[in-house]
Amino acid sequence: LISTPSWTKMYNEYLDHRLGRHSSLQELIYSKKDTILLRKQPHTDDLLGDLFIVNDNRKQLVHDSSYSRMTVNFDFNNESTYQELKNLFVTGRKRV
Amino acid sequence: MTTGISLNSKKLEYTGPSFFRQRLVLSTLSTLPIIISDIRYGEEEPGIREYEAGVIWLLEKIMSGAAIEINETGTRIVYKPGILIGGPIEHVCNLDKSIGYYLEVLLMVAPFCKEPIKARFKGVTNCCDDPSVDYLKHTSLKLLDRAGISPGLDIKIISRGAKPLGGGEVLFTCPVIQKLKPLHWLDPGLVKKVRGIACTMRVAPTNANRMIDECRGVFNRFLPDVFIVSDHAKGKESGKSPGYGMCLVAETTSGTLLAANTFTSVGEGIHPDRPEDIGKNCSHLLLEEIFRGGCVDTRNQSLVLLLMAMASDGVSRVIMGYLTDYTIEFLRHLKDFFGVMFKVETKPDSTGGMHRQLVYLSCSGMGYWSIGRPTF
Repeated sequence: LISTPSWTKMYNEYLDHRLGRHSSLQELIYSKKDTILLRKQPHTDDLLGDLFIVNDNRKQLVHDSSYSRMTVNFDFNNESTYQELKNLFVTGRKRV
Repeated sequence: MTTGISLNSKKLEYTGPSFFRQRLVLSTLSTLPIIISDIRYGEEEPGIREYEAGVIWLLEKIMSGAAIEINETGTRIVYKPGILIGGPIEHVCNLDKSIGYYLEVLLMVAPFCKEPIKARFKGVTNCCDDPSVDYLKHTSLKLLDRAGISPGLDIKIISRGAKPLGGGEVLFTCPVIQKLKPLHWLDPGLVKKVRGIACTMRVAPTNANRMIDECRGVFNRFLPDVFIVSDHAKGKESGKSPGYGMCLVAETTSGTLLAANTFTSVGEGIHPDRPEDIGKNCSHLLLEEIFRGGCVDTRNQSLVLLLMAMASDGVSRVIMGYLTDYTIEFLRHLKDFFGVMFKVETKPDSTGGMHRQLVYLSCSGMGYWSIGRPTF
């Protein structure tokens, strides 16, 4: 439902960007659903040294937030999901 | 920085900024001093954030005799709680977090104060990461009401405010209680109705209708009793920034309330979600909560655990759905601060052939009695 880019994905995107394969990094970083920040390591121009997602804001929010996002990923496009969920509603119960 | 006398010579020590609020709350209720060190130590911006400092100042306002020491870099805090007094307070919340972030703290300590709390908050009422004020009003307050903390308990939204500029105002009143009864919430029930509120601030009121249409599209496949109201804030009541969002609450046959909320700000440099996406996301989040099951929704798990630990005269039993990391850590903290331990059992639940796990929690309450409360 709400996609959270994984570390690996971010890392690969970053490397792709650094190697000039595409330039979607800025969009990726500042996209409205991403709270993960990318910061440069200070005082280094090293290719790998300047990458690092040093601060994962979302992780921080989870640690001081009473809510945890999506643990079960329903496929809401699938009709059977609705059929199963229906049984948790009053009108969805089969009459015995 | 303030000075005061510690009520307890024992101290608990923690490191890191995680679970900051629950440590402060439990320290305040137990009067056990805590030392939190290495807060974001080694990071580019070390120390506590302004919104975290705001929680400390909020607690300080309702206490007497507290001693709080924060070092120069903000990486170490020594928190020695005083006596919970309560009374009328006013708090200007940091705009990085919503008022809900602060209200969650106050909901836990307010019933145990000496005097009824009448708190006026100013800041952001709705945002996407923290619980909105509507959410707390329609779920947490109902839970406290169900636990016996009822007359005078209210959240009144005077004006709404969205990020980044806020401008919202909320009035929270809470009575004090003499004694908490044990909780016995063992029947989650089946969802019988869905209620909701779609709010819009400084945007076209049609956005609310678009959100509601999408929600009805999802929930009318399950049940016909879906009623969502729109709340369009105008003028002074709409705060300083535009935005829209919604809060949905599902009520079951046993009175259990499960809720979800979503929100998006609108403005320069912000890419807002479409109202249809907000409506759909909120509906799906609520379906997720319904699937998780239990008698308490995800956000209120820790509040209910606290009420169970504080109750007197017997054993409390509550069924919950999936326990979050925050809740699990809260259980550990309850043991650290009060020595209260829970019996936790997971049992499969095959209602509707869903094959989900429900968690049965039980504990013998400690019969909490605040030292600041009058005894006659």
